[in-house]
Amino acid sequence: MTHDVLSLSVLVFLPLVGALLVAATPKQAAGLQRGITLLTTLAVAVVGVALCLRFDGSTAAVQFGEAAPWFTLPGGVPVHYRLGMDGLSVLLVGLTAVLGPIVVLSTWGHIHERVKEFMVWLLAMQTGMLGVFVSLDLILFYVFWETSLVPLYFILGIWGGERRLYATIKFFLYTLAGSLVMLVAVIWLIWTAGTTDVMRLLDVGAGLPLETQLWLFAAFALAFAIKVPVMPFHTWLPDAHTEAPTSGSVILAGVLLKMGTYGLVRFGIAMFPGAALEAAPWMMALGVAGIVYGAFLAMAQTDVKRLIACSSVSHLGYVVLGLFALTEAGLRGSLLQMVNHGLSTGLLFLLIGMIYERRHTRALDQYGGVAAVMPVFALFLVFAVLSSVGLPGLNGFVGEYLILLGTWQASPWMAAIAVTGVIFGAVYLLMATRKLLFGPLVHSENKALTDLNGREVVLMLPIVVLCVWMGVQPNAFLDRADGSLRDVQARVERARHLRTASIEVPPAHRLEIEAR
Amino acid sequence: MLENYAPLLILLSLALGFTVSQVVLSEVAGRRRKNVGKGEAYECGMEPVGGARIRLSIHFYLVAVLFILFDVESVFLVLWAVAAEGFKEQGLALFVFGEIALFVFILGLALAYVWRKGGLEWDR
Amino acid sequence: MNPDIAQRILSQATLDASGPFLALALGVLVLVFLELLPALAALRQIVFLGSLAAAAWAATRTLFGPEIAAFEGTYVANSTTSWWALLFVASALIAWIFGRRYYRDEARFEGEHDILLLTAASGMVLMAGSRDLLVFFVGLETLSVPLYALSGFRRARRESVEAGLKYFVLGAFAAAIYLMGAALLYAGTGTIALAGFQERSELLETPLALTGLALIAASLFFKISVFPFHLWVPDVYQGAPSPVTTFMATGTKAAAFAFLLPLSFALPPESAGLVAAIALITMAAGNLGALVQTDMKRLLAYSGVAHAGTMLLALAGMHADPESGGASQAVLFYMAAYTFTAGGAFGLLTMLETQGGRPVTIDGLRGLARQRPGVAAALALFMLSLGGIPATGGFLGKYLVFSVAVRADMIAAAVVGVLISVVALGYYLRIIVAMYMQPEDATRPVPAESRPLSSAMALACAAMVLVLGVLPGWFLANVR
Repeated sequence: MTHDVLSLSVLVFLPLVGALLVAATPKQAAGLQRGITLLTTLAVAVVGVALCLRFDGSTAAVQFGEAAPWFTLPGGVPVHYRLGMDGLSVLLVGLTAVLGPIVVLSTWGHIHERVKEFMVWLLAMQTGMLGVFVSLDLILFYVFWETSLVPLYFILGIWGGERRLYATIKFFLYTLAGSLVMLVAVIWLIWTAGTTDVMRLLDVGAGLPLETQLWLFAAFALAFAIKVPVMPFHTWLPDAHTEAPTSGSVILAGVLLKMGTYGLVRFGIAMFPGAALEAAPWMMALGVAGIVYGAFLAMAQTDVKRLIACSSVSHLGYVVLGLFALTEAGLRGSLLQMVNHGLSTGLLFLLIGMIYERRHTRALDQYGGVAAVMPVFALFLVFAVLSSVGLPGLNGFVGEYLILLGTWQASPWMAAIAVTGVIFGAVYLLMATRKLLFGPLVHSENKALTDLNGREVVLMLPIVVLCVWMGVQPNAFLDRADGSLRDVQARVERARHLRTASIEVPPAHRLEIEAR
Repeated sequence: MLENYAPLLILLSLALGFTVSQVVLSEVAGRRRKNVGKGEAYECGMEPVGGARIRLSIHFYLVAVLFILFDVESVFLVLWAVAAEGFKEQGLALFVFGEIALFVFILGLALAYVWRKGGLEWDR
Repeated sequence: MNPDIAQRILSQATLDASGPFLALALGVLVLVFLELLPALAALRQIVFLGSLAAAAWAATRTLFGPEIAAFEGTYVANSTTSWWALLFVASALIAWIFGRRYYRDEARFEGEHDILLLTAASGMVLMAGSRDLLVFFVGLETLSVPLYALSGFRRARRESVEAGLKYFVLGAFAAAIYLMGAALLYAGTGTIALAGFQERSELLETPLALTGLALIAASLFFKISVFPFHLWVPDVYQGAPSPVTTFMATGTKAAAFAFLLPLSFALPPESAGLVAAIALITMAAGNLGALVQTDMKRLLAYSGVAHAGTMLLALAGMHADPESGGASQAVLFYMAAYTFTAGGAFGLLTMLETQGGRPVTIDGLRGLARQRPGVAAALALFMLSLGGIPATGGFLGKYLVFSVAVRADMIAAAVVGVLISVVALGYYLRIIVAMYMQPEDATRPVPAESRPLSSAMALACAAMVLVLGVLPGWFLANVR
């Protein structure tokens, strides 16, 4: 283990240390609690960004790796505390680290009760999310994966809206059901392979017979598809988003959903490439269905927060589509789109939260003409919407373009349908913007709205900068993922070759089962 | 083979003979004095006719349970007594005596406990 | 008669093997003696704790050693039985500490309470170590009879008396069934020793022996509350005094499992499917039953049924594939996690009940997080552990149990099992919702007295739950 301050262990557990510090403060000292939390998340952001900058994207090798024996499972399978970062996780780690202080700053506006508890859960949440992205031991991954549910459960359930209890339990049970099916697959895989090392499991998974791969893929993909959420499993998301406090929504949209898409790449495509090839048409169809269906859902919403939640379903449909196009452009686009969505949708949720704090309603028809009284707000909102609909020059465009390009190479039909989603996306987001910002100021309550204050502007600026930067120079980000993406691509190609050559896959790691 | 059952047969005939003789003897030699109490069916202190919800002193049960407890323990003493001879021949007399003494001591402790807690007093 | 019989009975090995049992039994005798002399009542607690400590110490002496057989092989002490013994000691300690100052009307019988508790614990130790149907039966009764009395300990309370009677009648019935089974098994195989069954395994396939095995299994299933023999559990757990419920929920189940594991080789391998089905139905019955409860003790009782079903799945896995192994370890680990989790949860309920003077319902927990943040946090942790969320002992227990099933190729059963266990989160979360997310219950009395001992015990339970979940290495390496 390294003793460098810039290590993944420090990154992952720094928030938890902060949480313990906050927990030790007196109950009423809200300022102190906020201060500690902000400082902690800032430190995490610094460490996270520094790690991302030092990351060498030209290779698929695991970097900043750490390993220590943890315990031994019955049957002699050693479980390790194993952290590491590769191209698939680097951008998401950066995203999680950067969003931290922004979310904390945003809570100034809407978390006034039980501040201490909130900060503890927020920090615990960050540990869980970072842990998911950097753990390279299957058990450790699973532990982080499931424990990260708990803080969000509390954040939603305590500080959420009116129907929060329904939304909370729905969210928890829905995702847990998927995770537990995955657990059975995890158990089976670990027992078969005799290791919990994710990097070794990638090779083992690819070597399994196709039918086995398909079963395992189904179990893993179910858990991730619910988390993403892919179309038929999306019903928990609008509820959770609508009821969550702003900061909860930002985390949910910004990072938590990405745990699903991250899982799909690493444990779906890279680990079971043969099965991924088989399932690709279906997954792409689900992705496209999500794009279109989510867009239609969004169009019908009168609650602006619900609208953005439905737009998330649509946007994440792109990610799934791009991933399962299984082409270089598709994978690159999807990886970028994960970050894009985190930034743009996060920004949208922040903005909606800010206006909600002033007006206490999310109904679209209660607004109108807000641009006249809140010009700065209007500016940011228009920016966020444009970024979200994929205006060239901003981040959303690059991701969507790459995804559509990659999909075209795999299946022109799918791409054709998916493109309609881009148009629908523009329609509902711009329509919502018009209803919110422009037109006459019909509601007198809106006249008294104050514009954004300095804190609110400052907290959004990093996102804006990143959106522009990623739009103009996407390769600065994508290059970091290059090596790993090539590796995933190579795994898929190998499986494709095996399939077309119809060579029997040697059951190298299944010997002991066959013998039984 | 069958002669093994002879003791059983003897026991059976003895039991049968005893009960029959008692009934017959009391019928022949007994004096007749009728009263209401004698005419009633009687079982273990309870009236078998009528509602079951009559209050009976808990002491009946307590005494009965205590009796059963110590009664059953005496069974073990009999078994010990039968086996003790064999142990004695092997020079283990002290050992087996110690064992049964321990057993009796525990029984005594229990009796003392019952006594101390007032389990043997009827009016309390 | 063998001349060296005294030698064999009084040897050091015998003493080592029966150490935990002897320590507890001696404790019982001394406690009875203390009851004779009210002047010495102050020594009671010391004797009780000393007896538990001695039992634990005796158990650690055989923790890592080879198996010692005593009393003609009818009783053994090995690593597994020593772990079980430690677990029973922990279970008794948890129940005892949370039970301090619980009994108000029965305060003058606290001595009897301790005696009965310790006797029951000694019965558990006997059950876990027995390798003979009759020795097990003696242990079973040594456990059960005190528990009947303890269930009805609050004699002024209708529910408690009802619980005592219900448990007694059904328990006596189960005991009778056990004896019938043992008799049939003896008739079919000519032995009552587990080793004897192993030698004459071909005789176990006869209808007579199979009937006997089924009867014995039924009576054990009654003790570990497996469907359809679980119906007494909610009534008894709810009605019995809370500390006793704590002890029953953790200890009794463990003791019955401790014997079921070495016995289960006797069941024919074809029965694996049946056992798995029973396990799944038990999980479903427990979880669905718990879903509609409002009383916390009743809810946890049903949840305990579901947990028994989960552990039974490991047993089914062991049947299907005896070579795969790990079932004993899985059940032991699961039970250890469950003991500290459920023990802590029932304990906290006991504490709240003592302070509030009335049974705790889910609604009664509303807003607890604000009034008693420590209690709420610990209870939330226990609920998450019962639900099998990672970083708690409950998760690893679940992992081990399901991995036994998966290794035995019972993947469908495992998938159904995990899906049923999702239901469980439905009610565990409801409890957390009440504590953290709902406005407080204004009628809850403010605690008049602090309970440092109970609080420390709850903290210790929570710590154990986390240790078993986060740093299980030592336990996994040493628990077999």
